[in-house]
Amino acid sequence: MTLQATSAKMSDDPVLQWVTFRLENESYGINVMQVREVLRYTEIAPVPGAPSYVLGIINLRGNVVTVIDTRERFGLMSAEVTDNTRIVIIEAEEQVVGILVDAVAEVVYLRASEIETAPNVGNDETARFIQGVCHKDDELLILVDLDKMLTDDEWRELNSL
Amino acid sequence: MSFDADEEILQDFLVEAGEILESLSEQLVDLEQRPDDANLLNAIFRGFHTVKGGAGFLQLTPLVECCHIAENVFDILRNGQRQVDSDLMDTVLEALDAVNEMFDAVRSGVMPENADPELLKRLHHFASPAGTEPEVCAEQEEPISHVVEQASEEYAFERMAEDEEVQQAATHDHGDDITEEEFDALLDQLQGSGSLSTEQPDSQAVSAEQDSEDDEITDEEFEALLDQLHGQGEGPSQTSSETASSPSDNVSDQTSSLSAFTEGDDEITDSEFEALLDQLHGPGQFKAAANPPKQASEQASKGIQETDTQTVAGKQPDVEASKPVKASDVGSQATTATTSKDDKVEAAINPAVTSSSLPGASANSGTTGNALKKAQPLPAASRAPLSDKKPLDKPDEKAAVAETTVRVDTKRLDDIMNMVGELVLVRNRLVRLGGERADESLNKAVANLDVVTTDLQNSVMKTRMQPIKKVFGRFPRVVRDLARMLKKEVNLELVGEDTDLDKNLVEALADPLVHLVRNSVDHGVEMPDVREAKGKPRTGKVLLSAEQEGDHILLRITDDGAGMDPNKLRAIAVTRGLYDQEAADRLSDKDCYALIFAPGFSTKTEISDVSGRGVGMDVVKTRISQLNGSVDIDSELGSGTRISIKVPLTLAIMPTLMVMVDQQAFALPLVNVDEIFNLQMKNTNIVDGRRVVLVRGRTLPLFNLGHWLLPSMKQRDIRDNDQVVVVSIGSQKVGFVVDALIGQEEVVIKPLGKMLQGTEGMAGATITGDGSIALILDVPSLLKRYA
Repeated sequence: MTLQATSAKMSDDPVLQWVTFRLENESYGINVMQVREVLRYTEIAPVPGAPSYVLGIINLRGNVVTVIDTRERFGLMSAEVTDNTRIVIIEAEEQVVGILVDAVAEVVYLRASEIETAPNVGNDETARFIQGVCHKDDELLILVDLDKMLTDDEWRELNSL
Repeated sequence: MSFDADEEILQDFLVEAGEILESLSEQLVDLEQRPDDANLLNAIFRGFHTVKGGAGFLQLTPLVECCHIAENVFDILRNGQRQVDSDLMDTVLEALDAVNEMFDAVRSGVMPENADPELLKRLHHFASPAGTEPEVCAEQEEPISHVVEQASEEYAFERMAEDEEVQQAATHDHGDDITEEEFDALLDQLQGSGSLSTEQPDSQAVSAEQDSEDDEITDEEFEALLDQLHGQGEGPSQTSSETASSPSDNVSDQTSSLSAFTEGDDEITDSEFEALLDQLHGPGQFKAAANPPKQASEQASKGIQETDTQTVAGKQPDVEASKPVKASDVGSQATTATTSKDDKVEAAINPAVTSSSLPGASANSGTTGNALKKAQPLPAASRAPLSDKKPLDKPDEKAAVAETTVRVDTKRLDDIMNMVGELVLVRNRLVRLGGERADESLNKAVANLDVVTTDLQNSVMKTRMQPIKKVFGRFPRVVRDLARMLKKEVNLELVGEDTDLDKNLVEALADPLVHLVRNSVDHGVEMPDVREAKGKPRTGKVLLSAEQEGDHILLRITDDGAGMDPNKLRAIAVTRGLYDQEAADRLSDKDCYALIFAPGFSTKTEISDVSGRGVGMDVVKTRISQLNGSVDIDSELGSGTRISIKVPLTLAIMPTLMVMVDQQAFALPLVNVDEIFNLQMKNTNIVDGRRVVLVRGRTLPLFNLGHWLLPSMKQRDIRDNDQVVVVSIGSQKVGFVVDALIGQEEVVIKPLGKMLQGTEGMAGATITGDGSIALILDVPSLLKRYA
């Protein structure tokens, strides 16, 4: 996998791998290089006084990992936890965090040329974290820019606390 | 020699020189008390010299220059050509400050600026003997570039000695150079000086011919050699040049010397080598290097013998006086170069003039045949090898301290500490599981694990321990400077310098302690005249002590000064509007002392620098609380004040009280917890809309933790049989109402992720015995946020 990725990078049209997950009715993709692991839902300990999009913290083999409510972040209503609910542990901006998603689907291979820049959808909450979109098999895959999702106004918000 | 290791060298230099500079400040203040202490003078001289050497190697010219002159000053001092006086001390301390400044610049990756020329001029003045001799002047005019070069060479060798591989490479580069050119020049100088030492009773000058280039000893042989040598001390000896040394002992008459002839291509056998070592061992100390892989001696005719210290001491002064500065300079430089790498050995050697062979060196260079040069013994612990690269003998019985320390990156220790933390958690979990089962063998195993883990935890904690001396070391200087500035007479006493505590704590305590000590000197101790009028000795006393008390470290700063007047404090509290007159009158004396920690008592909020000038005590208090420590003041008007600081041994593991609030566990740091009791509603009242409880005649505000921490608990009011945890922050006490108490537990603090850092009220998280997460509450910020 790593080999493929590196060799692909050298070509003009690199193939990138994306982990896809579902939120509500949409499919989203995040760069596989930023994904550490995918966990089943475990109990999340809420942290009093934390920002609203932080669900709480979990114990990941002795390390404390913050879990973000992706729905809240994307401006969606919160949903019930189901059997499919997963916590995706990602690494971005030098921190390890978990994001709570409705389901994790698969890993897809996309050529760089297949990725279109995101349509400008105005002030939508989601739009800020979108790196691009991709049509594949009649489905729209929204590629998320995790770095943006974790920083940006989030920091502003944190600092203003 | 390749310089791709530059960065590493720089780092080494920073660490090493940093330590030296730290101890220098302490030694300099000591020197003021004991201006005639030769060992001390030597130690300081060496300190400056080593820093100079390292700086020279790294081409830090300004640093070299400053150190060089300071070094000269101490050379003059230790040769008795000048006496220590307070002017000189001021200048030297100023020079040390300048050096420290430059050092900081280097540390931050900036080329240091030249020292203040005015300062250098004054230093120069002190660097000449009381009645200036032309010779000395000439010496001082030695171009700095030369010094740099020289120093750097020494340092290069020093480093090589540490590193076999580097050394081998270097042997070829430097070795030849020195033999041919510099060594000759050096020998000339030394010969000059050697001739001054007239009496050499039976100094049998024997020479050793060594060819370092071609001899090889096997690894095993080398190992064996090292093992034997280590017992004695360690220091580099020069291997590259074709020199040999013989003790030229002009003081003792029982001199015999070692001669070693080594032919160019000879291999030395084990037995020969053993024989040589045996000879060397008994009488003197063979201070060979970690690296004489190539140094081979075929024959050793005689060992080095002992001389009587007394004799040495008695005779040396004459010799010194007649010795050109240069010779001593060079000789001692060599000595320093060899020893400076190993502080311990150095320290041991330093006072050890007990039994010594005074080494001179006799060199038989390949070309000149048998040219015997004699070196002056330096007063410096009579270990003055004279080739600047070849100190063979380290005469010192006390140096028989093996090097047993290793430098380890603290990162690595942190990692280990972390893993041990995990282990502790697993242990907690197992203990809990074991308790649920009635399996005896399982319980036995768990109990065993419990013991081992505890031991392991303690041992790992100890590796991170540093003596508090690291902080205390700076106080003599602080107190001295301050006392001089304030024209007070203050004696600082340090007790329990060897008390160990966590490295992080040592660093974190430095600033608050400096502030408190300054306060003691500034506000505590009175002016000498006032003291006399009160019937106290003119010189005030400040006692700084540290001791371990259970799992805490107790630090005390005691002065015998004026003490604090509680009424005055009450008055200030009233004028500052902290209390009204009546409330202030009700404060106990102890509460009044604690007032100085109140934020309102000072206007500034940050500890600005080491000096901590004009900074409020509340910052000190905050800092100590951040370390989970506490501060307590005792004072008696007229006879002094005592400030006691209690801090935990380590920051990584914290004793806590685990409580339950609606199924979620929270950990309260045990330092904050005063007591726990069962709530009886009949004891509570509502005062001013706030629920309070009466405990032993004192009203205590009650807060329901659930209301603060869990939104779902908003509705539920407190009821009978809830548990109340009384926590104290300073002199303030409040009660937290919780659902249940789990018990006392040592927890490993896990920092919250970047995103949650700074969340008010939370100090971190930990993983409980059952694998779930508990938040560690930070009581002060919790109250600030919610109360």
